[in-house]
Amino acid sequence: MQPKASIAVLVLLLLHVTLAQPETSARPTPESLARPCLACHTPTDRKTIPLLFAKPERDFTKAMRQFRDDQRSASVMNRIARGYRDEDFGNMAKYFRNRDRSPR
Amino acid sequence: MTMDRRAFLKTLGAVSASFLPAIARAKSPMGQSKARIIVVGGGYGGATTAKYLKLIDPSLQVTLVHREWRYLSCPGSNEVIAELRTAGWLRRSYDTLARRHGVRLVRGDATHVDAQRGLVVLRDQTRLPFDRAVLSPGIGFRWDALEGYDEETSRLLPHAWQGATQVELLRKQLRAMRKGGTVIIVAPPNPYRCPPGPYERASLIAHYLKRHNPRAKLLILDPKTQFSKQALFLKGWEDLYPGMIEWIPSSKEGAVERVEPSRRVVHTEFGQHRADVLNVIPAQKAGVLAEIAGLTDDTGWCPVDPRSFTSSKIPGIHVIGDACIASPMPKSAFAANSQAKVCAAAVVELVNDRPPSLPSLINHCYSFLSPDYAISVTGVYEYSEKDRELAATSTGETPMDADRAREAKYARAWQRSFAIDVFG
Repeated sequence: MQPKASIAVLVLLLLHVTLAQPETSARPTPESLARPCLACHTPTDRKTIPLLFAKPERDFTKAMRQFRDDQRSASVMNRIARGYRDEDFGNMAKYFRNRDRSPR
Repeated sequence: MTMDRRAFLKTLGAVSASFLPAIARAKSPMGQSKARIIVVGGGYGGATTAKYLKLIDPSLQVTLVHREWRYLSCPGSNEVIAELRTAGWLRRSYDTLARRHGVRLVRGDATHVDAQRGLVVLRDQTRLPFDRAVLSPGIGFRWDALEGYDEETSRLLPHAWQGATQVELLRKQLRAMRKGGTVIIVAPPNPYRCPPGPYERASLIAHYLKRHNPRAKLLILDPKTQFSKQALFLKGWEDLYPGMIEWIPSSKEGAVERVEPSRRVVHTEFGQHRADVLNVIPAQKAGVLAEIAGLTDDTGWCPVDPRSFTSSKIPGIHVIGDACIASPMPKSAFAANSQAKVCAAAVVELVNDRPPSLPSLINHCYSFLSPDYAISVTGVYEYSEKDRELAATSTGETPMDADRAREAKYARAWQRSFAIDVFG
């Protein structure tokens, strides 16, 4: 490929990435995503509502995908899971895996 | 940071916040800020903000200003009116916020916020200096919105939309009502605190009447033509209280025009109804402090940037909870809790001269129709760059065929968890 042509391709690529950004890139942090969950999933009450702290990452993301895709039934989690993207599930999972009992 | 050091800093934070006069904002050796944050209003929004500010950055000096040493929960108050719970169950204490989290508590009535000088002034002239202030002032009532119903009238004909006295008054009136009497609830126009609240109240009052006064009737006079979780409520009333609750929307009888307090008569455009127990839930606006501080717009509510809940009117002041405009989120304790967490995180970033990260919020509201029958509405929200406001990425209600007893079980679990997340 000629240098000029490759620069043109690069410019187009960059342009594409920039334009596509609002749809694909910036997402809330793991903390921002996880904190609203704690209004129900507190570290202390686990009789009815499951504890999420220290949950293995893979279990968490799998459960959230199943809720979202209606492969697993719940009282409210199906409705909630539909509000997030796959990468959000991964980020929430990271937050909970890394914390024992303290919300932060 | 080691545990010892963290514990030491926590203690130091608590000590300096409690006993030392306000000191100028300075960076600590840890690079954390020692900014002074004043949170005004100790409801669900304010209490959550204070707690999460300390959880996220223990070095902050966080002061929570509230009128009383305790708080009376609004969620759950319909259960007290229907005598399913006693009023003591609604009480929330700030002890854990102070003891475990190092929040400094100030009892007082904030009457003035001076954003330029960074001062919250209390009624007794105490001046509390701040680097950033978070206001969670709740709601105020539009006493001029309905002829014949003002603050004085509400002492006889309770709104019971906040405060222990009001809730107790309605409960007692219900209990004393003649056999076969009529309860009238006048529902408020949008927007107002707790959209499904008037209809949950109607349901639980019907539950009470069914047991204690089975020939009694309940009317809801509504200035609206539709309401939150409507299909689910109507189905529930049919299942649980057939013929007992009548909902009269403005499309049927026109606007609710005036109240005659002495005869307990409510006049609509095309009719009039006499009540034995009359519960008028007035039109609402942001709490009075928001108004005084100049944080409200023409709507009577407070416009904010939902990435940080910073006021659009006054920089350096944040407004969360029922008082702020966070549409499409409803005005609820759950929404206030989510907004408080976004606000707390944003305050920590802003005092360290960093931009706030993107917000993510949830609202989830349960309504009881009886102790074993509940329904819910849910929304997940994020920031829309395009519209510069929050947008719902998912919303939903209890499916029509869902198990209402299971919803009730989860609703009770949520009540326990939520108290812990906010006040625990």
